[in-house]
Amino acid sequence: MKKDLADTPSLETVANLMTRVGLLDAEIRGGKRDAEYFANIETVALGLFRIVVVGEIKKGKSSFINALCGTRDLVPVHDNVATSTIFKIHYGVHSEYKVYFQPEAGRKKRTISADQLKQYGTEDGNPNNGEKVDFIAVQSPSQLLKEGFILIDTPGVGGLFKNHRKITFKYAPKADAVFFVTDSVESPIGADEVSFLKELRNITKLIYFVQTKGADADPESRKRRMENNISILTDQAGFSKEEIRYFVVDSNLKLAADETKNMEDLQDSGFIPLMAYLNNDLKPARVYNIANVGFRRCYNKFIEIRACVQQQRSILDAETVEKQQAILEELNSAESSINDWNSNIRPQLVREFQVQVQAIQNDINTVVSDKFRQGGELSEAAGRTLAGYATKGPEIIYKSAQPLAEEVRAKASEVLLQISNDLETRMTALLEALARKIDGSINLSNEFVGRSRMETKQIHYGETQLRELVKKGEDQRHFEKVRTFVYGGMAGVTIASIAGGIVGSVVPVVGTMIGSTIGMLIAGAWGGKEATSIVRSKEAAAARQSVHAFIEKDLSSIHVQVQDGFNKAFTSLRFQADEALAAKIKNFMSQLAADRNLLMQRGKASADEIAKEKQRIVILESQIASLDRELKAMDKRLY
Amino acid sequence: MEFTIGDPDFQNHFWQPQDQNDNCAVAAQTDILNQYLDHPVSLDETNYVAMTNGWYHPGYGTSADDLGNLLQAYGVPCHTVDGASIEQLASELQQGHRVMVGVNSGELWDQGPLSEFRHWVVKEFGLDNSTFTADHVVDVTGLDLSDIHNPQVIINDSGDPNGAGHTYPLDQFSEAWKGSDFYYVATNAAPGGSSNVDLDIGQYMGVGTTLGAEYLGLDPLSSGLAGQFVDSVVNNVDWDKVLANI
Repeated sequence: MKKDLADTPSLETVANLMTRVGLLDAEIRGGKRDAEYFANIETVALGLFRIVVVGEIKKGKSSFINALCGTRDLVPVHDNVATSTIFKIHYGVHSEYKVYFQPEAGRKKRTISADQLKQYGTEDGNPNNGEKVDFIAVQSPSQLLKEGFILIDTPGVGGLFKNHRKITFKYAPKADAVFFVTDSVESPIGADEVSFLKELRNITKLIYFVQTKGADADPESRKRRMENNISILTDQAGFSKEEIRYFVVDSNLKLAADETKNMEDLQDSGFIPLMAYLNNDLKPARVYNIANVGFRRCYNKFIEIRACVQQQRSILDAETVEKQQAILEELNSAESSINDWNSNIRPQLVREFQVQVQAIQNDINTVVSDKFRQGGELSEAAGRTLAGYATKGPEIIYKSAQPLAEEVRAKASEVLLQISNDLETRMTALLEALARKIDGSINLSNEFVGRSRMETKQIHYGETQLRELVKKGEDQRHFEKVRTFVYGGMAGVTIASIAGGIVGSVVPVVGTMIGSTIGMLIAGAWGGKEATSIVRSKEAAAARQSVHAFIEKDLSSIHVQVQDGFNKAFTSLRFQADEALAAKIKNFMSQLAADRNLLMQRGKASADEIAKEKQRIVILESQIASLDRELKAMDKRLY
Repeated sequence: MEFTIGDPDFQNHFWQPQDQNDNCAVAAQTDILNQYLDHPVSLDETNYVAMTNGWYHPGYGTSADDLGNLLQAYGVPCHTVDGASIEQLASELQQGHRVMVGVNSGELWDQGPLSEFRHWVVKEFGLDNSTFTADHVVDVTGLDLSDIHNPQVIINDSGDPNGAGHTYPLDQFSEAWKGSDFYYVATNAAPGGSSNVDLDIGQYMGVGTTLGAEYLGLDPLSSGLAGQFVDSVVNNVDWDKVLANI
């Protein structure tokens, strides 16, 4: 066993605990499962880690992927064949290949055999992508994939294959790791590759290097190639030596080792340190994020369950009419407090939130306008480039139009990615601030809880403490401690749990929503017309003007799409929090009604029925105690 | 009167020593695998599979999160629990599940009187016990409750040359187990051919999980069943939807 344990629990452990909490919740609610909660379990259980493999053509990308998965010929590898489409490789109980077509092809996805892969997935079999393939999904029972890895094999980024930039911007932003593949034999990293890497670095810092075909060169040559490549990366591509993670491997040797379980070949293949790095360095960060979100949701659900069972216990223990009456008063008081909060406090909080969202939207619109409008920054930059062609003839100017358009689209994509990061940070902070304000708004009335003086005193202490915490902006978990131990009443727990719900259920959605909006906008940016559509003139000045006009039209189209896309995203985000609040209030009102019903039944129940119910509560409390212990242990590992 | 939960006698036959200083996790899983598979698998082979998948790195060992991966790789589903209780452990054993735990080896192995004195000093004076972290994995094969005042835990320990069916007092075992924050990995089902363990101990041990719950007509809340649910989720993904968003 490792001396230093990895602190983050595995996603399987988190999903397992989430499932048990969800099942207990269903048990308490008469068998009805919380569908949204169980959908979250799926997200955690899958724990997808996306690896995008990029590099020049014929550098061994596909062989590398096959070796990672431990399956020869999983994706096509032939000496004289280049991959021409995207392959998305994921886990499945059995092997299967499916072709997904571009929307304009008007064709449904198609399951194909391994023999047909060349027909759809290579330049030889599908020249210029005449079949209009969007991507090919490869399903494999590989153990690596079962752990949540998804591999994306990309076509080569060589000069002949013009779509590489589009693919880079489409897949690299969402990647959890980008593996750049070069080889030990042909040539070191060249100018095209350096240019590509510089652009890639603007999109993601998660770039790792793999030098393939290690066994095809002698150890000295391999080492020299590695050192040479590292120099190129530091001197020309802007990487620092400290940030470079570089692996020398041989995919064929790895596959041969797998077939015979030959340890020596495995060690010589170079895959052991790479797999260890993937498992112990790269994956844990992503696992931590997913585990964290899953744990928060689980913990929020657990607080609700515990409060619910405590309430049921109180009702069952109320043996006298007076005690039952006191509980009924408490339920009525809780309902009144929640209604009061819902009518008076919640609208104010939501209004403040929406004003702040509007402010962010205004800022984003300003940035977008500055960049994309006619005469804006990107247009001016293109104009400066064209001015550099002052002494060139029109033919050269028209030839530069397509590369210039692609460069502008690349810059536009970078801007959109920067905006998305900024937006996600600001929206997340805003939602967490909303959650803190909701928490802070509990301390309004002594009607919330408190039949005894001691409880009132505790509440009073809690109010002060809570105000201080709100001021300091302490993390959400601390709030739950205060809430749980100080507020014994239903209303307190209800409203505080809503705050937890905001952070647990709305915040994780922000990233996904913004990510898919940006993904769509970037795809749109690359969907512009080809420069061949420009009307030609024989005059150089007119040529520069018409190329600039073409670029501006492209930018204008992007501008409109971006504004529209962001407006829709903001509208959706604005109402996410409010909808989450409304749903929670509705759930708790239902719970109060159920408690009233239980109270009524308790008044009419026989001694045997009450005894059986109490036994049931004992079991539930025992399950809750057991889960509480596990949650605390998991909490320790995560924080 | 003898009263043992689990089937340590059956499991003793599958004990083997680890062949590296740090591949106890591989050895522990191999012992268990050989109770499920039709054809035995060697430690060489499981070492290979673990290394090729990054679950065991010589010199570094195996991280807690990777414990159980070998079992899954060979088609033996399992689940993990953090912060477990001895009752949960007993429940797993009672169902015939095979269980591995993370332990602090120093608490188990006799390291001499000086080591015992050091441990006493640290505990007595409440000193920093960060040295007491888990550094070893063992298979828990049984609980001997014949003397209810002196319960014993029976383990197969690949790091002990006499590790087949070694017993430790529950207190000592718990101290060792604490090093991993009471973490365990258990298989979801018993292997075929193991001894019949159908005694319902739920009532006696006040177990709030599977057995006691079933007794009262509640749905079982066992981590084994939850593990099956999680497995079914992973095996029934809507890949069209997932891949469209990648």
